[in-house]
Amino acid sequence: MTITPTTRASLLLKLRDPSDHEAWVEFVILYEPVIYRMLKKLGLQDADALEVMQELLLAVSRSVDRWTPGPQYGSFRGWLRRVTRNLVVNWVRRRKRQLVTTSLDLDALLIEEEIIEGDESRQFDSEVHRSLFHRASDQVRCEVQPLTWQAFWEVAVSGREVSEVAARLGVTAGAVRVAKCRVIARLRDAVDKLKEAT
Amino acid sequence: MSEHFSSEVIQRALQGELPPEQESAFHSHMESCPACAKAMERISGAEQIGSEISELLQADEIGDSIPGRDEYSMTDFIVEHLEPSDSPEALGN
Repeated sequence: MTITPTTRASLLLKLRDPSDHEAWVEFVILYEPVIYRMLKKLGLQDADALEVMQELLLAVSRSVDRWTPGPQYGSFRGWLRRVTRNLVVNWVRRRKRQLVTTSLDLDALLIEEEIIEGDESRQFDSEVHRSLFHRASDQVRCEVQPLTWQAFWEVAVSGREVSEVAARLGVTAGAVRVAKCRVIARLRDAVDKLKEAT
Repeated sequence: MSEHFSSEVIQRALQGELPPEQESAFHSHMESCPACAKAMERISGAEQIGSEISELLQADEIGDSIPGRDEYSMTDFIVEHLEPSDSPEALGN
């Protein structure tokens, strides 16, 4: 797909703050998997989940002009996060009550000020946490040596013994321990930065 | 090395800032010194989130990749999400 100057201008017009285009990229990278996974957990098939996910993200983009700078609304990113959370949680609730069938009244779901608590809300936050770690792992994996990443993954994620991984990779157990901790330290830093950025 | 590494050195090692010769000694020490290995776990955060990492990064039955998402670029799908919608009230129409 060719990005023409017109397309770029059109894109920027849809953002409240044109300089925050990068924030949108981060926003979609972070929240698209969150919404998709929540919809899948409801039992939606891939095609339906993708369709609803796009409608939800579009609804969020449409609501950008409702954000007003000021202490009562917080940051642009924080506001986007709240709108998305409320939108998805409300949609999930309605779906569970069978109130949502074939047509989505997305505007009616955009309740910006309501503080939503409950299982769906906790599930959303949990999925965001997961998404943050996945995004961070994509970043960190590119920053470290493949052997370092492999040592980390086999021990910390796959749960293999340090000695077994060391023998398999042909390095010392000390090197494996350092690799694991080095990646985890970077992951934590990356997650913290992503939290600040989104 | 019989002495323990300081928190500062461990921190530098975690950030990959040790010179090569010290890096090698650091690895060797972490193999034989449980106290320093434990300190490294604590300073890196592995002690606190080590068990959570596996749960967060391990693929589950739903998976983490969105079907069709690898077929086009990040810019493409940002554009797609922000293309004008059919709604007359949508921003950009």
